Amino acid sequence: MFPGAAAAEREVPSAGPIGVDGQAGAALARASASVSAWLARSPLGGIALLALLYYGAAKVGYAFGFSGPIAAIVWLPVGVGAAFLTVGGLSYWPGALIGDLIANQYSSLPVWGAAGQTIGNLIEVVVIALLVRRIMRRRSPLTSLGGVAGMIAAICTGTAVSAIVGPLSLAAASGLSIAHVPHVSWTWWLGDTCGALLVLPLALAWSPGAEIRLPTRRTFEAVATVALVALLSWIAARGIGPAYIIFPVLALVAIRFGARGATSAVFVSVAFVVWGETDRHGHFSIHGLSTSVSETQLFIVVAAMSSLVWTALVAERENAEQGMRESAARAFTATETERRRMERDLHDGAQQRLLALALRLGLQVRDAPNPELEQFMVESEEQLNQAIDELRDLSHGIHPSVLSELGLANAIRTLAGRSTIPVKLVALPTSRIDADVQAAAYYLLTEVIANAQKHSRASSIRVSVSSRLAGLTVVVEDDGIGGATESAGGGLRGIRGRMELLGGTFAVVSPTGVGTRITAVIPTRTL
Amino acid sequence: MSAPVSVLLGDDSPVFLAAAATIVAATPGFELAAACSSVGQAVETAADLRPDLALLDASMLGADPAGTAQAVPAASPRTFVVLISADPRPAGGLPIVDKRSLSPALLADLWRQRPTGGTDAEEAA
Repeated sequence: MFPGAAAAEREVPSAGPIGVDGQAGAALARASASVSAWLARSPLGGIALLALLYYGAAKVGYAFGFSGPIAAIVWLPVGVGAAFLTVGGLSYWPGALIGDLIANQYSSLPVWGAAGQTIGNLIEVVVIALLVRRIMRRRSPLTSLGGVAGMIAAICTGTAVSAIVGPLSLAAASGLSIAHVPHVSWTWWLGDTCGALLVLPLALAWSPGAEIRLPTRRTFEAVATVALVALLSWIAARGIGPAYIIFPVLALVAIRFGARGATSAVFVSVAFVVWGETDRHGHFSIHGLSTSVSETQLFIVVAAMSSLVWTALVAERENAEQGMRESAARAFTATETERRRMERDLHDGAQQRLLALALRLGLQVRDAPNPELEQFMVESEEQLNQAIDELRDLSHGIHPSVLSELGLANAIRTLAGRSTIPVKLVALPTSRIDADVQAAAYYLLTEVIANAQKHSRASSIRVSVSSRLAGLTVVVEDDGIGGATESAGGGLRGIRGRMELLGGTFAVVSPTGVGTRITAVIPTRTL
Repeated sequence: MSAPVSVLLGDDSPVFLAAAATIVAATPGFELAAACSSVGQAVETAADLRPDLALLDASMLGADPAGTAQAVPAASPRTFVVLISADPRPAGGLPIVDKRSLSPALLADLWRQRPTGGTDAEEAA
């Protein structure tokens, strides 16, 4: 089960694009997970499966005419083989060998040339898988720019092996004129690179356990985007418009739908473009190579690479944001823990000592031997009481133990009861609230009500605290003189700092002569 | 003249416990039965000594002082329980007094205002 399945039920969309793409995605993930489990049990079955997939990908190329016996516009088997070995493990390499051997068109190729080509293809997929697996040990090849660059380099290296070995063995077996080798190599290399760039990232993005974020609850947008990708791809494929009109929507998909969306969209649009190419120029054959084939290949390479880079950039930005949110939350929790400890220490230490002193002093006051001493002791008692009051207020400000004892609603009632300006409680929270959020709301209310008492000359204060979709919403209004400002080191600035640590918002509206309205929204923790 | 009112004190601060003991000692007609520094100890001692009055620190009793304090009358029904607190706030029906106002006069007042009925009837029986 993906952790995102629960996220789909969450009410707060601002939590960010975390989770999987609803039920279809979850079902797919389960299906691929059970395939991997089956593979783990029977390695021979895995080899057979790879051989079948590899052969099937080659056959699709031949059937739709984008692959010839030598080279291809897009050589999908390299992507299939590299993806299988990358995700499943290098030990399945015989599957790629078998698949390639049975896919070779021996009718139009000299046997030794075909064998050389097959060896080149095998080395190709193994090299790519080896290099990509090495990258994956350190970082995701999809969600980091460095990883994407590494994966592209791995693909280009692996395909270069095949693009050199293949044509040379064909030339050696007299299946190809040596003069044609550089040109064929170039097309071969581009075709294989296209195939790997299309299939490998797609497979990585959709493989189970991939740390890919996909937004939930955007079905309409997803459907509309798919339609747009298809429409623009069709326009490009029919030659009605240039192929690059797909780029904005590919960028949009990368930004909005992450790696899974981006790799799928590229696959779809490339399928259209390749279809358009073969439809206009007939089946791919190396002898009738036109410039439009190279252009199509370059289009695919550029589209796939751009899309991968956009995806990685977006993912890096989201990861950075997530990291910042987490570190802010950690900082907040750390300060809260420290505050609790300080409150505890004050309560157990100085406060008890002063109270004990007050009791002892109180015993003696009545028995003072002369009026001067009695006066002195009465004054001492008063000062001691003030010290106790101040200490109590201080420890309340640091961390109100009243919260954990009474809950937020009762704590606010107590607070309102103590105010010198009448406080009208318009709304109070009824549900349980996270301790940190509670503390922040209480702290805000003590500060704001104290401020109002000191400066506003208001005749009444209205307080509303309610749990909403965006978080705990606190509104405090008074009908005083207004003109409240956030000055450095002031109470309001302190509240803003605390709200921002929690990822909340804080707004002060205080026109002179009208009163002050303070609004804060503290997000309920979703980390 | 009846026997002195026996008082059980419960507070997890030794400093305050000592001061409160001084107050009890200085109150005519009252005597200190025990000074306990934990809830468990207070409940056990109350069961043993069956004091007339128990003064228990609210913060020692944890998140639900009134609820936790019920263990004392459960162990010793004749005991009248009063909560004391450095920061007094309503506590589920039990009387609660500010720690700093603890004095011989207040002790005597508390005892005079104790609810009569159940305890006396039980004493009679």
